[in-house]
Amino acid sequence: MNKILVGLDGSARSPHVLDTAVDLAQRTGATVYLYRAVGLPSELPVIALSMSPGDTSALLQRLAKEDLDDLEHSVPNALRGGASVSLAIPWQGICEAARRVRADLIVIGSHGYGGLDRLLGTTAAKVVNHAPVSVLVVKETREADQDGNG
Amino acid sequence: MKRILVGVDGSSESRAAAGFAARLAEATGAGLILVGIAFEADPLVDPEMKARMRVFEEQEIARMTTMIKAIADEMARPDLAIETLVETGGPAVALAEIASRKDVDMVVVGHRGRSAVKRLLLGSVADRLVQICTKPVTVVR
Repeated sequence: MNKILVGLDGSARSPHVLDTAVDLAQRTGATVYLYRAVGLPSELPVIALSMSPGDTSALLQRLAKEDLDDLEHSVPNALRGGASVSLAIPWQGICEAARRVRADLIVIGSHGYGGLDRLLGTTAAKVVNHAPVSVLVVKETREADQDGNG
Repeated sequence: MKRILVGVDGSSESRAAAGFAARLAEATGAGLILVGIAFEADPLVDPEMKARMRVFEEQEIARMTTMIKAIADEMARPDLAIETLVETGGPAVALAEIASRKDVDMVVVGHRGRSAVKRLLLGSVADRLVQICTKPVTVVR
């Protein structure tokens, strides 16, 4: 394995997903790339953002990038491949980022798949079905929360 | 990592998954558990049909056992511990159950574990597994 792309969101569980990816990278000598999609409501056409004062999307992306840069501090220097954000529907952004960096594995988290999630499909399910490369889905369970808290 | 479970059904995708799992196991010093899931006779059908299905189930288990052993032999390496296991049931549910029972660190599957028609109707084993498995799941392409 050479390159691992980690798809992160703004949730408190992101570090758990990142830790899993870093652990794997350390064991396989891979480089870790961080990515976060700045979400937009699916009913909002992208063009609407450029018609309104476009500063909003720039601000959201800047904030997301700052978050991601903070998270990247927990990645050992030697393994850091970079961090990027883009304005995208999360699953599309993740797949696109994986192509761009030529990742050979995507690591993403998945929430518990409660009733509604299962019906509607989630980012994780979409990535699994559409990714150009292998995908590791890390469960973000209550166990993981406990790990994170204590 | 201690144990990596890989689901194998004989398809080229599942063989790719087994290859991925073996490389990861070698890199991490983990043991590999090769699992085949055979068809399970439906307990709800009438007794006569059930008896016939039981015969089919036994044939499936035998076929799956032979296949899993063959794949394990192909993959054998001095520094890789491989365990083989054949159980019956629905593939995704059975794999998720074994993953919990064996407390594995990761489950690896290919991205297609069903025929095109079944996949259309039921979704792939990988989809279902990602939904129900409590362990990390890698879907290999």
